[in-house]
Amino acid sequence: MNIVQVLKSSRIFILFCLSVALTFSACGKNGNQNNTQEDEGMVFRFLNEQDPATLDVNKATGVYENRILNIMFEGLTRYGNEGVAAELGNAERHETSEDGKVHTFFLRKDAKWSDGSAVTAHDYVASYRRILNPTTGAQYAQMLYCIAGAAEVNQSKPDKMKLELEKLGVKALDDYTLEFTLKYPVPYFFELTTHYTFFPIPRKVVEKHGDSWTSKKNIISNGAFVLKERVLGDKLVFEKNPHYWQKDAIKLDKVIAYTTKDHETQYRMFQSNAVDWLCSPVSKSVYPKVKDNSEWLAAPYLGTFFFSFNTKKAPFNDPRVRRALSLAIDREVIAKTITDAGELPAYSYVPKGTAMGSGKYTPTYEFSKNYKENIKEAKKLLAEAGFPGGKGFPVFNILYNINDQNKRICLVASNMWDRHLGIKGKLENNEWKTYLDKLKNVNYDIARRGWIGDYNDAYTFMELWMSSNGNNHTHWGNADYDDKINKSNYESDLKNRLVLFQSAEEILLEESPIIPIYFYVADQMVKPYVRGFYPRIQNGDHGKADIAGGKFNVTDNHPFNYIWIDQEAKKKYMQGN
Amino acid sequence: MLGYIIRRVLGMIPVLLIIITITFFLMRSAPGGPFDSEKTIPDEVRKNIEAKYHLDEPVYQQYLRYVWSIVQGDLGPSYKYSDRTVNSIIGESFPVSFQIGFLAMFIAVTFGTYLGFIAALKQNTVIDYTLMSFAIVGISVPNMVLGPILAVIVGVYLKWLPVAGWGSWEHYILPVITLSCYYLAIVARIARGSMLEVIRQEYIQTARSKGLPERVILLRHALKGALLPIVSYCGPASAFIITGSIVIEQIFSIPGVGRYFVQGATDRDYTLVMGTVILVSILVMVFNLLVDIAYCFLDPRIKLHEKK
Amino acid sequence: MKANKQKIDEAAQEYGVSLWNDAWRRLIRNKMAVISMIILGIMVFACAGASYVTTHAYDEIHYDAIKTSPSMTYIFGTDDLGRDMFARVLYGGQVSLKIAILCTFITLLIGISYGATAAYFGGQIDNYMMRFVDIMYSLPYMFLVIILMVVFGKNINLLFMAIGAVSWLTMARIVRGQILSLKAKEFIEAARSYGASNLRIIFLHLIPNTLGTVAVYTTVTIPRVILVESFLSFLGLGVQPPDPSWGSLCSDGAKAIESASWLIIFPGLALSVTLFCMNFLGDGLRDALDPKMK
Repeated sequence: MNIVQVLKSSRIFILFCLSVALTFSACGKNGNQNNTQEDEGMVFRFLNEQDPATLDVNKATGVYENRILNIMFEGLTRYGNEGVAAELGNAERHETSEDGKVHTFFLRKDAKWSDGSAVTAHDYVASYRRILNPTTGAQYAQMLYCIAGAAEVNQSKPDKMKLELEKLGVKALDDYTLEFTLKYPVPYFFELTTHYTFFPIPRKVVEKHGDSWTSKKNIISNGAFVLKERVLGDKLVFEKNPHYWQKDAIKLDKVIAYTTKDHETQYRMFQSNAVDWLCSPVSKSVYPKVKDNSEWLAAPYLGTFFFSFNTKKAPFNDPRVRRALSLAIDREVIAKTITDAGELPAYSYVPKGTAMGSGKYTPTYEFSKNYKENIKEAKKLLAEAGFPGGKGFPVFNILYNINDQNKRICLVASNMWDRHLGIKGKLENNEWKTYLDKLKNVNYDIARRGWIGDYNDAYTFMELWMSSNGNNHTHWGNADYDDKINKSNYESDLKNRLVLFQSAEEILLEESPIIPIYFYVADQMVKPYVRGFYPRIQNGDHGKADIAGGKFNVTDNHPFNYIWIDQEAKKKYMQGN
Repeated sequence: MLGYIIRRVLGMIPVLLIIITITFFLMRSAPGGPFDSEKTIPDEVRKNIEAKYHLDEPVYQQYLRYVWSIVQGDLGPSYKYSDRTVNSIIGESFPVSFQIGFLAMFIAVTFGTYLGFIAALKQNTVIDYTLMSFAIVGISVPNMVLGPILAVIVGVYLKWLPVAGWGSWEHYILPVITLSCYYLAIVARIARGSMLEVIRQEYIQTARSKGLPERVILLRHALKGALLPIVSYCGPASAFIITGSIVIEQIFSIPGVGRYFVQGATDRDYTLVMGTVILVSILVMVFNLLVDIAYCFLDPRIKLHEKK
Repeated sequence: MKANKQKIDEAAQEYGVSLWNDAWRRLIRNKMAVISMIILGIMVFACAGASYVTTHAYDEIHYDAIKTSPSMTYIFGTDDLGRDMFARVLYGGQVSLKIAILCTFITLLIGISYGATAAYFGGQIDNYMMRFVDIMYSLPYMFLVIILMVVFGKNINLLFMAIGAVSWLTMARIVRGQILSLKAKEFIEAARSYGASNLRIIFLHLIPNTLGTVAVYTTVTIPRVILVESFLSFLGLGVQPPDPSWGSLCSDGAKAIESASWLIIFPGLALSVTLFCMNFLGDGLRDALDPKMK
């Protein structure tokens, strides 16, 4: 067979194919090539991990939206510099009435929307009326429920809403004065207003375009940056807002938020210097080297990982059984070998460092750290409950959602229960919505869960276990507990409030409808040339000095107003790599 | 032929309707809804939100409403991306997937066929074994392994190409290579097999005995017959490859449409899922029609539009 | 006329019988195929009898041996929970090999007969049958799986069903394409003119002539379904932790490629050795079944 001839003729064919392929890919070029840094000024690139589901401040719900909206918008208050929880933003002054129920904010007269028009108190009122309006479809309106009449408006039938709106406790006293009347004194209200649900909307734009006011051609904002580009699944690009009242203090010219979802890809982008900040690095147990990298840092975060019980189902209706299972978990091992990013083992429920007024929450009750003693007690409790050595204990399900780390924690927990108590658990993996469905219907035995605080106050954790709370999902309820939490709402004395919370937490841990496992950390990777970012890496110390000095925000907020890039250091860094 | 094509295209409408109907009721019977999240919202509020999207109506009414809006060309609003419509999401992301998929398929088919034929002509030689071993590796190494390896070597260590992202021509190279490897390997294996079969057919032997040059025999006579199974395979494969690959899109952070197949389902974003299903089904049907037409060119004896 | 028909039938039958005999003889002569068969046999026995091959349990957690590299105690090393990888690879093979065998079976059985029937009868029947394939291609697979789980609960048979339901589609289309071309050929015309029954023509004359292509495509399908399994297990259907499968071992291991390469190397090796053997066996079968090969 004459192969040579065939090969010869095919060579031409291959060349043809190659040229076609190259031409085609050249055509696909969108001209958006990587320009040199000098052309664009100071650019900060970070990984937001996901697309914001919406840019509508009234409809947003999650952490990905939070980061983006804080770039574009500014509320009455904002996340402060050096990890300060809250400082005045759009408002220049704030007053609280004697009883703590009336809050008055005085707006800056120089605050402008990005089209040059003034930001007025009416924009705020419009925003609150819109978010509470039942026909808007806002999912996070609950954040405003501490305002008098807010829940009533939000939960009314659309036709009765007008009536309720009259009673809503938000009023524009004049163009620049906004008054809130609260249901009860809320000691953390000032900080609460940093949340995006309290942001204003450009009411004229919203009136004109309706729900499509957030499209790229319509949207205007009042924050430090304005939206320039929004490519779903790729990135959002922001430029400095020329009308921002503090524009001279803003050092960044451009912010790029990539919406890369895959953690390994994010890590590779960071390694190849395509981004300056990585919000959620790869799993530390898979990439243990990440922790040695001086660019990696991990600060405590406002969240608890825990298991919860279906307390109606035998044998978990017996507090002794629940307590036994809780005691049999070696939290130290889980935090050290499984999660492995510096998480703190949770011997109590409310995360360390949660704010209580000006102070911090401290538990008065903690599980013992002596694991051997704990096991002994657990065995004893289980025997008392009628299952000596685990005999006769039914096989139970451990519900979790698709996630590698969750899987491993569940495996380890079931191993510990099996090894020490002689009881067997079966893992039940579910995709997210099925998991939620089972959780909500309390259709499980034990479930892995987590709770991230909505705001920095212990109340966000404590209210979860009230029997009326929609997120309880355990059937557990305790009148004493409910009573204490309800009382705390009307307690203006911060010390008494703390005592109420502490004693409520004691009840919770005593009855153990949940098994706290660890407190989350917010770990991230930041390039060393990034400035104005807290906690900050200095001399490769993983930001430890800042964390020890409290210079981080436990809610993991990093205001872009203060971030900048040391171009000299960056140049050096790039050459070094 | 034209009449046949028109009949087939018209025939797509009822099939599409069947697919839409099954999908619609399939989705609605899955647990959970688009507005379930970890933080529960009060029942009254949830009802209000559902009313906004007409999710409070009886299912059959929702179904009719949906079909009616599709007839008008409107795929509805996305539930997850609440300030986007499904039309705009697919409109933006499909061209991206199409470019990547088209390039990858083009490379896979041309090179795969070529290498497969070489292997067949050199059957049971070192060349054959080497090529086929590579093909087996290509088939068995999944994208999720190959992609990261390429990205780490070429992107992180050598710094020749961006590790991920979208925008310039450099961003095409790694994903296209990763995606095409698998299909190239499959096409090569099918091509080798079918070529082996064809070159032993009588008409090839006849041509040979007539003293036609080998090149003419292979290119004019053998190629056509050997392409048949490749075309059969490439029809559905093309439909799937140009609607994007979630793995490739995640590894290289490409804003394609592939991610919405899984994401839409996990978010219970009914309208988005339906949009992707409609996209895929139209492409599957169109490509299978093209395959059938191609059959007639490759083998004139095949008659599809015979009347019985 | 009748005599002629009988003759053709007899010839076809004889051809059929001798085809299988010849094929077997040719297969045995193919060294690569024989070696592959032996390795596959060892693999199947090792996985099926995993509890006799290794003393380690596949689900026992060792907190003191997390991610240790291969050693005398753990010859394939341990994973991120200190579980013995050797045991996990062996037990993982049980599921993955089962899936490979089952899907091959379904693909061959349904794919071939469906494709052949559609092509042979042609016209409207072909049209309807192929549109059904189009529908199966287009339905959102994830929802299908989620619903299956909700309705039937989680079990391993359901996993097989979910994989089997879609694995035959492309095979059906490929077989149909081949037979569309074959059925216009002279020898089919001849058989038909002598009044051979449809079934006889399809199974005795048409399908044997497609087996080469079928063998090749089958070997391509197997790695695909093994990986589909890992995706379904990830979604919660099928293999539940701590039980392993090659697909899930590979996808877990792929992530740890930098820090603990043995987690991907060993399951990957098991998978690719199996695939190599299946491919060479497939090639051997293809050559052996090729009626024109001498």
